[in-house]
Amino acid sequence: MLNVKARQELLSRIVDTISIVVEEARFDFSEDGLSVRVVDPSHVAMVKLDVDAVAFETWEVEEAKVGLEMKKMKELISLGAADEIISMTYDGKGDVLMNLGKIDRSSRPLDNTTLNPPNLPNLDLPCTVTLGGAELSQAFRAARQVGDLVTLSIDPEQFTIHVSGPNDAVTVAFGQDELQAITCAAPAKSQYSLTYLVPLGKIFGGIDSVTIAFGENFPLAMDFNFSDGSGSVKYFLAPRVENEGY
Amino acid sequence: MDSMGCNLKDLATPERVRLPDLAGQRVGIDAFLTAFQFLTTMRDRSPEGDGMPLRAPDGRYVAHLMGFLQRTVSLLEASIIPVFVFDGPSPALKEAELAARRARRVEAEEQYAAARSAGDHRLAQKLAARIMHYSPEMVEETKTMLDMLGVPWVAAAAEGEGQAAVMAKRGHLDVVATQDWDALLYGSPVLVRHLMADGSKAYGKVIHAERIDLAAMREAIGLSQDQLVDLGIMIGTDFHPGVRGVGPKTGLNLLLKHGTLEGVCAAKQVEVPDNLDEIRAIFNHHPASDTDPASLSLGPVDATGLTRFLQDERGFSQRRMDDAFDRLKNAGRLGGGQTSLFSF
Repeated sequence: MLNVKARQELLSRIVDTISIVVEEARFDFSEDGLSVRVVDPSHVAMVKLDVDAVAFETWEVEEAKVGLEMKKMKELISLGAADEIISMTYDGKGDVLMNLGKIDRSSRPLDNTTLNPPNLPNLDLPCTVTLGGAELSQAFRAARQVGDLVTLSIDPEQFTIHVSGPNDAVTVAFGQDELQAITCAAPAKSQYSLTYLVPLGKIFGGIDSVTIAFGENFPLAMDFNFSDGSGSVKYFLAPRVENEGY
Repeated sequence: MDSMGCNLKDLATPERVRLPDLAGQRVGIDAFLTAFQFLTTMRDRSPEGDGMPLRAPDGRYVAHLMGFLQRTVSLLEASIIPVFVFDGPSPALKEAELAARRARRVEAEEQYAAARSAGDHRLAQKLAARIMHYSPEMVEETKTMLDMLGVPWVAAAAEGEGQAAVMAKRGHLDVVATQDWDALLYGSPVLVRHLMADGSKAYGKVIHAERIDLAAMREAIGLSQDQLVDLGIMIGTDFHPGVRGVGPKTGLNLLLKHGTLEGVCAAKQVEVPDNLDEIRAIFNHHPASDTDPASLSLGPVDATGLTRFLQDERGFSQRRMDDAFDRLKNAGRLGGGQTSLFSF
């Protein structure tokens, strides 16, 4: 009921993206493609990942929901090179079989019923900015050198990433003309944990366009595509807030 | 509690559910049923206690507030968005049921008074559970406290269960959590029972929270929603005692064979229940007040207000307040820090 083949780099991207948030996830396979939704145990970060069937080398799928451990998948993936083919088969019961060249690995799937995908938050985010993944990833890494919490601020002319440490500060400012797009209904400022953002930067670092939307003391939503648009990631991150009463 | 509302237990195949599975979901909760649970469990059962709900030093009842505070905080800790639904006026057809309840209460009140004056505290305490009344004043106090906790509540146009079910059908609630099976007759797509009792023991058995999917249940037993309502009416509801001698399983077989309640009555040569269309309408088109999904979200916690309302005015202990505030902080509802995605 499931016979899927993918290039190692695609599978690696999928598993790395999910691993930022959870160790165990339910992969929902349908005729059209793969869909995964996960939230971390403290409900701070969420990933919605969709990959169209065309991104895979082989896609013979009857609907299946399979609970998988990211660590085990990474172990096999790490043995291959980017353009090698990894296959995955599952008959609905028994083990999930993965193959890379001469290597066959079988793993028992996880109990599905404990891996319910979360509802996506329903957010109305007033500010949106689009920029290159490499620049954004570099900015987050620079911020991480000084502190754990980054403040994103935006007005119609500028998008700024700022961190203040005890003795140091880092500011990365992007003017309107240095950005691919910016819309901002009202200036906003919000703080987020870099513990979640820096690892994500490794995923979107090579992506041409990453869109961030957020609001004042409000969650951040990040969107980007990969594999020529056949894969998409939507990432949500809850803010850190300083004031009483929330 | 298992026979609450129309008893559909034998026809359902519930799945187990745990509190964390509902994180981020809007869960509709019948405020009156919940209140009764608090009023009947949090009572003065000291040796000479009167068995009535716990009171503040000035004599005001506080059991309902203690219960709702604890319950709400537990739900918020699980990142659930509780939406409490308060009963409105009952449909006229419930009058017979309500009159019977009033009569039982009057009887219990007399027995209670007698036991009290005879100094039989144990009997009085037992009877007290039957004379509890969730008064309009208690209802208002509960709403005030929920506002301070930043938790949404809704005043039902009629029955709380019906309002919650209509809201779930509108997509404004993800789940209706109640013991009352009637929620399914009202058309709630998902019912969760024993949500807060998960893992506790009753009569020596461990209780598990369970989820019933209406569409799956109907498919499994082979009834349409109209037929399910007819089945409920046959078994007996708050609006009609039902058809004598018909339980869930017999009723199901009869309906599968004869199609409608009228068909069953014709075949069995019994009278069709009075006011049948009106009863059907109560379930199929229950009056429900308008709700705006945007208002059904969590708001800021008014810590100062809670301290004044509960501690200064109603004598809640420092420990109880500290515990609530600590847990609200853990839930990301108070004091800043890392928030949860489900708080927005």
